[in-house]
Amino acid sequence: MSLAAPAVRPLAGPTTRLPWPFPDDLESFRYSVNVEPARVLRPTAAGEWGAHIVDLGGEEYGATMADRRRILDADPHRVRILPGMLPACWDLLLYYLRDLAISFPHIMELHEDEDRLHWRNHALGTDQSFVLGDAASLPYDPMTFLGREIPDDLLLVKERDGQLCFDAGLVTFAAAWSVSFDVGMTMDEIHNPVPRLTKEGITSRAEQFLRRLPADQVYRRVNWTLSASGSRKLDVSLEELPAWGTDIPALVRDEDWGRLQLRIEVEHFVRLPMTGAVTFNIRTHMTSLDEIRRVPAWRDQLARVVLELPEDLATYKGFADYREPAMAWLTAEVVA
Amino acid sequence: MTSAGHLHPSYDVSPRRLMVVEVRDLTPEVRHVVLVDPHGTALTPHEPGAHLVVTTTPGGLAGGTTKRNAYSLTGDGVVPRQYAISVLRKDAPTGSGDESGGSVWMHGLGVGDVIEVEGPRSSFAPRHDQRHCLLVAGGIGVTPVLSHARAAARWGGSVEVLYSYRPGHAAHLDDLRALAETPGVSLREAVTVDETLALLRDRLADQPLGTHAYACGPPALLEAYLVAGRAVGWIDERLHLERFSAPALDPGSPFSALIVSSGRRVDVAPGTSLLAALHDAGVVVPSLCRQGVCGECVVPVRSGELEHRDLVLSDVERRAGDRMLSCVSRGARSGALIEVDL
Amino acid sequence: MSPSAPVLGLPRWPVEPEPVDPTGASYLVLCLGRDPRAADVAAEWAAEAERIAPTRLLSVDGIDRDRPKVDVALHAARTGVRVLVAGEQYDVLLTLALAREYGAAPTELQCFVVDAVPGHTTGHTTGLPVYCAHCRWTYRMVGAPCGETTCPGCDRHLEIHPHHSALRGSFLASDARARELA
Repeated sequence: MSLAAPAVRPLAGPTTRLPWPFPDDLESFRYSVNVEPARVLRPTAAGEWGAHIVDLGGEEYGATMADRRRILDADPHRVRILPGMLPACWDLLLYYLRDLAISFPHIMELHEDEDRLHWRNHALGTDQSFVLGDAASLPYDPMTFLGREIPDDLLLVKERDGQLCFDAGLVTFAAAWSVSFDVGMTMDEIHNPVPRLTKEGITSRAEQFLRRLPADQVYRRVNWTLSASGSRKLDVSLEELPAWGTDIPALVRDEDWGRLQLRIEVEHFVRLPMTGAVTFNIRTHMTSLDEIRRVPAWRDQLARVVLELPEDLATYKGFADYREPAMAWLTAEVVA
Repeated sequence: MTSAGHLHPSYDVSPRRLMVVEVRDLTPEVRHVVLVDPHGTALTPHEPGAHLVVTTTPGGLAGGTTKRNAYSLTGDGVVPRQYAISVLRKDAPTGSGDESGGSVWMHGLGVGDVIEVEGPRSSFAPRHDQRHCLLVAGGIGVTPVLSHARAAARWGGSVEVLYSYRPGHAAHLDDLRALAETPGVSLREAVTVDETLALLRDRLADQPLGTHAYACGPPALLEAYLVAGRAVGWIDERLHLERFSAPALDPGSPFSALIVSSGRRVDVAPGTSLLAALHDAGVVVPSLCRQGVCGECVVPVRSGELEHRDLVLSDVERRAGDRMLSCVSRGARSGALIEVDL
Repeated sequence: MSPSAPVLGLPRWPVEPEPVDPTGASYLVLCLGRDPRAADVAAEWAAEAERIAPTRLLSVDGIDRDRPKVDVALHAARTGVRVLVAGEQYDVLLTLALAREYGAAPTELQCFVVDAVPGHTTGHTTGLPVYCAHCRWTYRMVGAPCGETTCPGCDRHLEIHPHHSALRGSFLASDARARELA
């Protein structure tokens, strides 16, 4: 890696763990069912990611969880669990707590005595004994309890009348959608506004993949866009649109391209054995063009992919109007 | 050993060894077998109505043939410490080669024996959004029904159980009667064919809107259940069932399958299944019941018209035409060519 | 988009009332509102259904005012029932959602709306159930999918998304001016 420009600081922190969303050889992007086995460490131009199904976020973990808990405390509509989905939420909680205790043994512990569980998270100070299936033994419903321990947005899908339905969710970091509205919809209904998604049969193939998800394998998928906010702010939910709606127009007006954020979403798919529910959990990462510019391979690839994207997809992703000046800034010579 | 996909050992569904800790006769023909992990690990949770695949060796370990038999788990599936199955002994003529040998082998098990199992697998799960649940059990079909009833009771659901049995041969009747003491759970019993038919007609006609029904038992009972349900306006999406076995099929027409990955063409003669033809060609597709009931041998299909003869795929899945059960389903016409994505 | 192009995820309304599904074991015909066309359709359905199986015709002023009456009728219904709903879109969408809440499957429901223009899925303005993402609440608003309206809860100028939830019965809407710099 070239360190020729004196302005370049050495890479550290979140950038080195960023799940860069494009394979090395990718020149153009279209929606596809780009799933791969989970828990596979993947090297990137700046570091590596992907050893575990949960990425706590290193030094950002505490701040992210404080943000998550603040949103959940302020807005109960960010969690919606349809009748009959509570067993699936317990299934989800047990699966993740067991996985976390094995993945991060130095900070997380789970002790099991039949249905009685004792969870400790030393990083956040959680110390909770509870009985699986007994709602009164937890301070929150099981999905919310888990959502206050890990940064992932939690989504559960199950089949009804031959269609996969998004029937329970805890989402605080939605990219301009509303969890409270979307819970209970079928995958087809939800993805209807995405250009090329249903027309090219992607939803149907993604749905087939989820329906056939084997019990013994865990998969993941990486998705991306340019964020609707000009900061690390994760809560760009539709509910909060009045609070962030002018962020990008102001950024575009000021031509402050360095603050523009690449938003990366890592989705994990697990078939939970006790209920057959499938997770569609989403972990959101942000990195600014300012940071991306310091990794030449990322800088060049992002500019190629963004500029090559057809107009309808660029419009859907929300950056058709400003992608050219933003990418021109990204690839301009760094003046020392 | 942990399976590849999950870190925690209590999510393993691959072939592994479990130990028999209890053997008990429920009726003169039904034996209850309880299994645990030899290392004391919690077992993999499962959906109500799931089954365990047991490797049996009818005829004994020396000279016997290895088979895989599916048995319904009777527990609620929530963080199980043990798996319990109840096996009806089916004596068959020696050398008949049908699946009955497995049950005789199971009846020979004793405490301390270690057996190989795979799963659990789910093929008869409840609808999570059901407002109420009607369960119908006939004879040994009580085993998955008991699992459903236990799970409904555990999660506070409302459930009505209809149990048709021969007096003196009713496995788990005591368990169901005890469950019926739980709020939200009720039990009705029938001991003759006429009583069973009357009970089915009567109870299917008087369930709250949003009820889903689940039935397991002999073919005649399942037929009567479907007829009674449809007669009182039940749509098929509400009438779930699990069959022990499928009706006999005709040998079918000859067709060919093109294996996409290798470009190789496999001819399937009448009376031979695609599953068997693929196997002879060295392409192994996992299979279990081999009669279109369990769904194990499903293969992805890229092109070609199909004649679906299974009891697993839904109408929507059939119309999609992108998969088939290789044990029973075939090319649509004599000489048809289908492309299988293997 | 051409006015006749079907839009995925939006309700598609029958141009003429469909015949009654003959496989029901009982029928519940719900007539919402006082529109004479809705009353005619409901009466014709009820007459047709009565020839097949026991039928109940319930006419009410609207779902907001008479929800308890519809609740009682759905609560009393048995599996095997077919539910038929006639009225204006607002009432019909919310009544279908209520029937689903009681466990009715899509194939057990039939409906007819009097205020749809045949072939138009967007652009036709009428009273609709609209979920305001900012109020987190559903109101009756006059508008059309892809059109704009004003929220009676927060007074914001909203755009109605072409995004409909059968479970809620409502369309999604959000602040149409939120991205405009002052």
